[in-house]
Amino acid sequence: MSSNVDPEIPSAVRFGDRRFAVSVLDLPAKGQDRYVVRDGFAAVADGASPVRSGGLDVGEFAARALGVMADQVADGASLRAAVRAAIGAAAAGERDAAATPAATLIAVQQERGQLNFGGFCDAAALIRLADGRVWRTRHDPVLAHF
Amino acid sequence: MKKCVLAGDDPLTARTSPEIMEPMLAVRRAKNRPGGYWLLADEPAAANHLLELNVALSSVEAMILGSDGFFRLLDLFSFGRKQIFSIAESGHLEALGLILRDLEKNAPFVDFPRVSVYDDATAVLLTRLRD
Repeated sequence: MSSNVDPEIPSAVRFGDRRFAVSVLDLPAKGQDRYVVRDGFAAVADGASPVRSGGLDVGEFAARALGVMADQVADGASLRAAVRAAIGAAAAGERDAAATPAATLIAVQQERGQLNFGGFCDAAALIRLADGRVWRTRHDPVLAHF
Repeated sequence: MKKCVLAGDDPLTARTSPEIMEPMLAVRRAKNRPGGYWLLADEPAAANHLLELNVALSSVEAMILGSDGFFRLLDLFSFGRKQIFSIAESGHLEALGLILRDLEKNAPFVDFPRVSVYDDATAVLLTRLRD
């Protein structure tokens, strides 16, 4: 089963005035990762099972959240606003907080000549710059909290 | 703690041991709380705790967005960042997946501590095209 939120992977997407070729590695184990790639927005979410089972499907939760984020960004929302909307929409209908899945996230949005990266927990982005440097976005490994 | 948690001979034993479960549950309880860590879940305020980075679009040649399963290559198996890009941008992103799975299959838990043998590994590579 594909982890893509959309039916197909685009061969290229546009971020501002730049075009980027798209390649995806989709290697499931538990099958709880999801990703989305559209013009001006890309994201990966790694779903985590809730403490109490029986609620929303983890993969469905992650896919729903990414879909909402992509739509929000396309409508001009900031990354934070898109995340806020995604949380509200993805968990909608689930009244038991302990049964609500969770997901790590790494997302990138283009806005006014900038690429805005935002993430939760241990999902991350590597960024190769024109001057040869490679940056990694800040991340917060769960094991650091042991 | 990490050595203690994950030094078991196999991941199943590690996951079911009280020595392991209690710290894992404690970590779960720290989710989306000040002083803990933040996730996409049921707490809208988590959006205020996004780990953010802004980069000029004009300076970016390529980027890889990945789950922690993919980043095992860096964090567990000590690949270099430039090495990752070198392989991925040569058209061999799939090869990185094969290398990762082979390492996971053969790496002893004592030396390469992890909760599960394999993890979901997703990477989205975006490489700038010159029109």
